[in-house]
Amino acid sequence: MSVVATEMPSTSGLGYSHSNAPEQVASSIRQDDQLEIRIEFGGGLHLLFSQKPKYTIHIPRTIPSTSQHTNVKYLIQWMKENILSEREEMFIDGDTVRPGILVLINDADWELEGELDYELQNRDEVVFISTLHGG
Amino acid sequence: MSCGNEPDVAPDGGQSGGEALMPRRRQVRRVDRAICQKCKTAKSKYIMHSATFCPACFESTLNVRFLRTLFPALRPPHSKVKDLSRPPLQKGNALIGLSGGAGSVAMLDLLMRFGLIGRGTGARADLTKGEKEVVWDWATVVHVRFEEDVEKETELQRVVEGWGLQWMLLKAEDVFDSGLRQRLGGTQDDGPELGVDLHYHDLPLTELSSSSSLTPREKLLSLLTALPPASRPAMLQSILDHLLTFTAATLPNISHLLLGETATRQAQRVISGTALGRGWALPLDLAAKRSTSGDVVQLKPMRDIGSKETAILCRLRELASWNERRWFLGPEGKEKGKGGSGTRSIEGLTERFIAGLSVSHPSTVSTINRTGDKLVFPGETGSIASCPLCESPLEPSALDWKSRTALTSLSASTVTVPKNRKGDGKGLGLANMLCYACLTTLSRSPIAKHSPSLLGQGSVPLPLWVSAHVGRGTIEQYLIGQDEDEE
Amino acid sequence: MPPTPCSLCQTARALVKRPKTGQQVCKSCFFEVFETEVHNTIIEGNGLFKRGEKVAIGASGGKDSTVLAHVLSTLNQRYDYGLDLYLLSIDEGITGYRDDSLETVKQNQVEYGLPLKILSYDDLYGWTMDKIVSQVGRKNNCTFCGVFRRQALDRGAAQLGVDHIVTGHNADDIAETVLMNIMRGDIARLGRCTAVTTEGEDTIKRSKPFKYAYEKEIVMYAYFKKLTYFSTECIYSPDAYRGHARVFLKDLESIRPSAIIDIIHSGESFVLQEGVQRGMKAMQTCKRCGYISSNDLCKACALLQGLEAGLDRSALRQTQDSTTLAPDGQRTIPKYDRHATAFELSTPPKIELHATEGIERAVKAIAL
Repeated sequence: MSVVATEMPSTSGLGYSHSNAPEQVASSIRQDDQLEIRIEFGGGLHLLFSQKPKYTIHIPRTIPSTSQHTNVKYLIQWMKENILSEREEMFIDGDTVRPGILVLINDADWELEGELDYELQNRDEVVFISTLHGG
Repeated sequence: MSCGNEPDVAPDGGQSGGEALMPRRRQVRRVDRAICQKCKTAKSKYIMHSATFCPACFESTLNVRFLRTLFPALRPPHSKVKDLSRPPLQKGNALIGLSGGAGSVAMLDLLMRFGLIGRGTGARADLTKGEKEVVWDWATVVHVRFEEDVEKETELQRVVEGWGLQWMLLKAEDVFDSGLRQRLGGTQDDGPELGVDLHYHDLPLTELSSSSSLTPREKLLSLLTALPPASRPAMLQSILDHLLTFTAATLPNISHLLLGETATRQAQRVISGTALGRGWALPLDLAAKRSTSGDVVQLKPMRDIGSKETAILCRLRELASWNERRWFLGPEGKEKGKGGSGTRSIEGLTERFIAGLSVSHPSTVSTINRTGDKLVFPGETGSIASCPLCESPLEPSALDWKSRTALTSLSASTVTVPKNRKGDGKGLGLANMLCYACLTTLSRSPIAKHSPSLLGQGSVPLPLWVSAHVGRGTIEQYLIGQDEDEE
Repeated sequence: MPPTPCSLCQTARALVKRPKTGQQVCKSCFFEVFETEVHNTIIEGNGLFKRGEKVAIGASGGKDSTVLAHVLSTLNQRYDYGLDLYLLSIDEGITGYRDDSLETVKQNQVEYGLPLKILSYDDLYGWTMDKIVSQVGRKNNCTFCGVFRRQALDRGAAQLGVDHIVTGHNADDIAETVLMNIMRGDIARLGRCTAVTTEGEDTIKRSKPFKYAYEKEIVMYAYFKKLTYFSTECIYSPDAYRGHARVFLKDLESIRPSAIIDIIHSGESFVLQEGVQRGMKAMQTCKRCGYISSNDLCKACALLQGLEAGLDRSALRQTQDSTTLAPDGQRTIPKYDRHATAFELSTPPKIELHATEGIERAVKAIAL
């Protein structure tokens, strides 16, 4: 499992450390039991993810210790544990994203794709955009 | 009541139950999902009001909604022109408020892509060659900084100047800067600088000595710090509103102020405005078209487009936006923690509430706005006094209502006059001049700690426009003796 | 640390922090401002009551109506309103809830010496709520209860010969209703829900003297006055949508206690577009039972017909355009006579007073 930032962090990463990712390899030689997923943040959400707007991550093809195909619900959980750097409640609500965060899977509204149950495919792109002001 | 259901039941029983009027989300049927319900050919990608759209139909639908809101407001009264034909060239330029949120970013993009704003050269279109005339000759785009964000400001400025428009950066603390008016090209002088003592119910005014060495930023922080956290967003909103309307009125030749407030924001205003006690003037806050000071007309062309739609629009057009508002909310320190950020203010709770409800009831925003649209302003604008803080028309007797429904003294005869103050009878404070909501904003809990302000006395500085509004002529009667304060 | 002095009288020890104003006050000043605020609500404008008026207090045995009965009796004497007060209770037929709370009302009857009238759904409609819920399920059962209670109260009032019912709706209830009506676009109700009195053509006047009284202060008042009340929530689940509004309101109150009264102030200030307020159809009387209605059948008769026909939740959609006669073999509601004066009041029985567990529960609910 590895994390590769496609853009240099503007500050040092808080939520994870590169040196802790042993298989930090180019995406072209990813292992077959992994999925390469691109994640992008909009509307200011990147502030919660070490200020990086884009990530390319590798996550298991099946949810660990189950035979279930990795879905968006697991992805959100994974993000929380691995790359969410601050103010968890601004991103997470229970086992889903906070209401008011728009999720696009391959540029389509996730409501059309099954939301949390969508089974992620290799090289899928998932975009999270905040529509919230805070305040 | 142990059973909360009864108040809703009309004599007739009525059609009770929220579900009837506010339908739950329907699962979009599988056959509907794949293709766009408008063109019926392309693959659908987005859901709006329970219908699915392909990107092209999504954009064109929003374009129509934008123009249908904007254009009628720019035509002469009683014009019978069709909705989507272009209104005539306006007499002045536009001032565009650009927060960097998806609403204002998308609005600026729409205005420019439709060629509604020229480059200030005065060049006229050659209609014979099929060119379309602009609606405004030029525009100034103003961004108000609450907290510095170089990345955001640099990008916004790049976009604005890329369109050939004038970029202007204002700071929240400019409301304490007597140089602002001159910078904008105005001439008139502001009145004396006033402070207010928030520890007393009647909010006594004091004149601040001009030798006060605080910077405008320090004054802003001093005011915000003295307010309860729940009141800070309302104060900041007043500051933002004032800076925009003041700039529009002071800059030469501005006829319209354009704001990117979305339908979602509009619905939040209905609910939070109600919760703040702003019910009376709320219809003015919600209006699609409103005259502000200096004969400027304020327009909200995005008010029929939701925040989700503007976010998608920005994504489609590859526009960077910053929705997370990072308003300075005063010292965080110990107050932090409870419920996370955004939940210490009425506005933050309202946003969270509406967003949460919209997940299960997608028509939440439109239903709330339908209610908001039916509210009518009961007073007459222009003819009545206005609140010095929010500059909205003043409703009758806010203070009376408050003192009758929530008694803070046993009776008039036993009113306790604070020890260190003499000769202040009723009616000599700012409290008497404020609207209900602003009175609430400036009310502190009586047991809040008596924190010394940066001024070293009980008073905190008021924004200059409030001082100016209270007015030179009437100021004397509102001031409490200076010597009494120096103890 | 020395005890905090009361911020009103400056002498006695403060025991209560008033949610509404944030002031710390002593017990007797709390009673005084609480009662005076209710008095102010009553005398505002042309006044809520006429001298000599017969007024029924809608009494459920819960905190609001119990405190209302106490405060109204007190103020009636103190300010000499000259009111003729009655207690009017509705027995919805909810085992473990209403049967117990009615015992509390009977104690109140003794304590305040007010005549009591009890009307049951079973007598009036032939259906208890227990029976209704077993047929229609828990969802939407509140609609049946609301419609039936409203009509039952009016019928009880008519039987008592009173023209005016006061209910214990408090500021929290009204603020919540304002939010609800905004959220579901119910303009007609938004326009009238903050009125202290509602009175339609030929309907019995209804007033809410507690419209500015905070729920928390009502609980505190009951606690300090050691009033007997029943504090169990209705066992049938309330409207989920209303639940959202209530949670939101509590969140608002926690960051700004005045939010409840501020919402009511907004609600009172709203002026709605002309035309939309006339959304209600012209009133007539129900062709079957004679109760006020905007259709051929009143809502209660329509609901009853659905229940009698054995329908489940679909009974809610029973048509109100109907013939005068109910289908054969179905129960109907007795004829409603607004000006009947049939009197059968129970005299206060001599029962031993004992504090119920309601007080213990109230104690837990108060955070001082």
